[in-house]
Amino acid sequence: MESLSLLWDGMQTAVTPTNLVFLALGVLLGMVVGAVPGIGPSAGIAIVLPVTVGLDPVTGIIMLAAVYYGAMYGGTITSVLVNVPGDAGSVVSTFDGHPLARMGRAGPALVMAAAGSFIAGTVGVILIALTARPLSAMASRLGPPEIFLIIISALLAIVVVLGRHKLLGLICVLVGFGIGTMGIDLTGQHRFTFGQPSLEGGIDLVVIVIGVFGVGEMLYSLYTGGSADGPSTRFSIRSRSFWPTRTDINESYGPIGRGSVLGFFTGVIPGAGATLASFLSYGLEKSVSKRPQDFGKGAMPGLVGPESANNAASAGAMVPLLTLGIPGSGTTAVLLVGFLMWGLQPGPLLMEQNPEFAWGLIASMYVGNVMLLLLNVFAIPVFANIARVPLTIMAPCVVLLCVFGTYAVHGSLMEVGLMLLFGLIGLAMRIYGFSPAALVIAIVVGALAEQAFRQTMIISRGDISIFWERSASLWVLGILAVGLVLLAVIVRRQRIRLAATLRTQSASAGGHVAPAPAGAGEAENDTTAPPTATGSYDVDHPFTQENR
Amino acid sequence: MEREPGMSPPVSSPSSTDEARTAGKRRPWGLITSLALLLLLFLAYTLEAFTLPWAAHNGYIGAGQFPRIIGCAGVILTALALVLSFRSGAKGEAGEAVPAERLRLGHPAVAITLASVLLVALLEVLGGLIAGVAFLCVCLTILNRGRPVTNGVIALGFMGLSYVLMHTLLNAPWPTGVLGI
Repeated sequence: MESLSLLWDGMQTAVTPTNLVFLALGVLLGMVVGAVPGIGPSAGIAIVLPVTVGLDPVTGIIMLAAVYYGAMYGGTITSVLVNVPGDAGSVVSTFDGHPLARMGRAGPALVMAAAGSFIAGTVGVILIALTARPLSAMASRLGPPEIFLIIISALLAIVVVLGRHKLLGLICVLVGFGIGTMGIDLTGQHRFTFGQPSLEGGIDLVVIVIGVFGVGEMLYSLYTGGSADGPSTRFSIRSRSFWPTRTDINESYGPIGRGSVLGFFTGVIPGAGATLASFLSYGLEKSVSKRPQDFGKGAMPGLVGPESANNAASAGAMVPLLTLGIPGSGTTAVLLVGFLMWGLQPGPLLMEQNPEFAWGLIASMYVGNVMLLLLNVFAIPVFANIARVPLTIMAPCVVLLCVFGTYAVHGSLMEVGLMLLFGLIGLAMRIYGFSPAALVIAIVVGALAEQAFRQTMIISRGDISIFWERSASLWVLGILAVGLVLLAVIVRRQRIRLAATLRTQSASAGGHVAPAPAGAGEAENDTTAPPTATGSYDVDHPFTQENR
Repeated sequence: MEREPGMSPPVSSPSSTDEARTAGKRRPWGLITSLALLLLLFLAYTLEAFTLPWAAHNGYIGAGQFPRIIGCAGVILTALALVLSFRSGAKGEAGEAVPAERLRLGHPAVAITLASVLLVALLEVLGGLIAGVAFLCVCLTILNRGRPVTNGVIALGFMGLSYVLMHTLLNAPWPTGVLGI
């Protein structure tokens, strides 16, 4: 109750004319920045930081936070419309968001993503208010062993997105793990840097993501002779096709709820971040869905779940920052600079000594989400009409945007070259049935897992029993075990249900329906082939024949 | 034709599918080439991994442990995939994952790729603005034929907006070239 009254006081601090103006400016700027590939939330905040020097600290931090979640949504816009993720956290939005846009449903996709982000942001703010103190105490007890165990659970998300061609999917995972090992490791050893200083930090994930998903997708669309004309529907708020249908809304309740909670608690964990939260959410939604075969082809839950998780994680990342002074992600690390710039030290004393600052910030996140939703409702028709631009014009513009976006990351021409190389790799992956999604997840998860495991072994002096000797680890292991069992039960039920559905369809169609593929209901995130006239993504591929 | 369990329906039209199936042995050469290249990469990766220490000086996990495991697993799985690809061709099954539109020099995907390579090469010489306009003009001339005025307007408009947004407003790193724009 005390927290809620503090939140109300914070609301009164946030809702002043000056703060509202800068909040709106931050949200708008954040959306624009987030929509540019290569310039994610952290870069956006860093760019705006100097502008806020002369502002009152409360106003300044409100504006920076607005840029943060504005950028999270901005990345969704390009992910959905042109399949180019604005940043790593928006990658998952391309899996189902872009197929929805290709079906002429860009409007409903963006509206539902905005709604999911708004609800998740609201849930996040409420959870911060209610759980900031106990969560921070818990988070401070989480060390490398627990973080390693949590990251392992993200590997489950890889299993879900391996796609139909499991062997090729596994190869992609290993390639991703391999890429994740590049750079200087914990012991200061150079690994696969080939004497290049620019590779000492490894290959930036943003470069890979823009290449594989942005340029790769454009090249693939041209290669397959994709639609030269965009969808003919013009989007307008007054048009029925702009708004989600009742089915879209009904399908989204669960994913938004689950994504909000999952994303928030994932964001609380230092180092986890919005990217991991969105992958976990996608894996979860696909596992519990009654129609997992629709994922990757424009399933609304596949978009709104990760979008909600993404936004909730950004709220969750504020918890360790505000309560412990520990930035939970790269973006909150930049925010921390803002705090220090105004002479404020985030940590346990911040909320006691500067409550108007801390609670003003938390309250402004809710107001900012409302503003984001309202802005988007009017801006989405403008954005959605971009999807009508013919591919012959869109493709070179998108490739150019990817080039400049990549250059904007570090000003490195080598990274631009790498990005184009990954674009060609992305094209080849799609043609030959590899899984770009598995590659990206593996890069993120593999590097984090290795680092956490090695830190754990250093702490325990090589004793692996640390995983069951620490109480925090036991809790995480217990939760993981329960989750695995539930997942296995759910997947088994999905398989049985899908097989029964296909038998029924086969009987009613006189036996002319393709049999259920092996592993039916288990996983298929095949973004590698265009839809056929029958609407199926299946292709006659050597690796689709499971019984060899 | 009877389908084996797990076999997916082909994406190509019935007549081209029958053609592929009656054509006899037809290996997925594109996939085989990709897997062969991957195998070479994994072999090189593994060899390099074996030059890294297995254990650190204090006996803990060294820099080479994970890469060695990843490399060996990659070599094994890729070799397996390569063998399976050859065998699928020996059975006379259809080839590429997607019915390939043969790539030729004038193909849009090839044209954009070549133009992109040229763009990167000239980016820091001509500067982002000029190089970008030139890139768009070339690509749109190939992809959007017969509309030179429209293409020119799109090229100038898009690059102008990008320049203002990224270089002026956001102050993001921007290749200025010898002319400094």
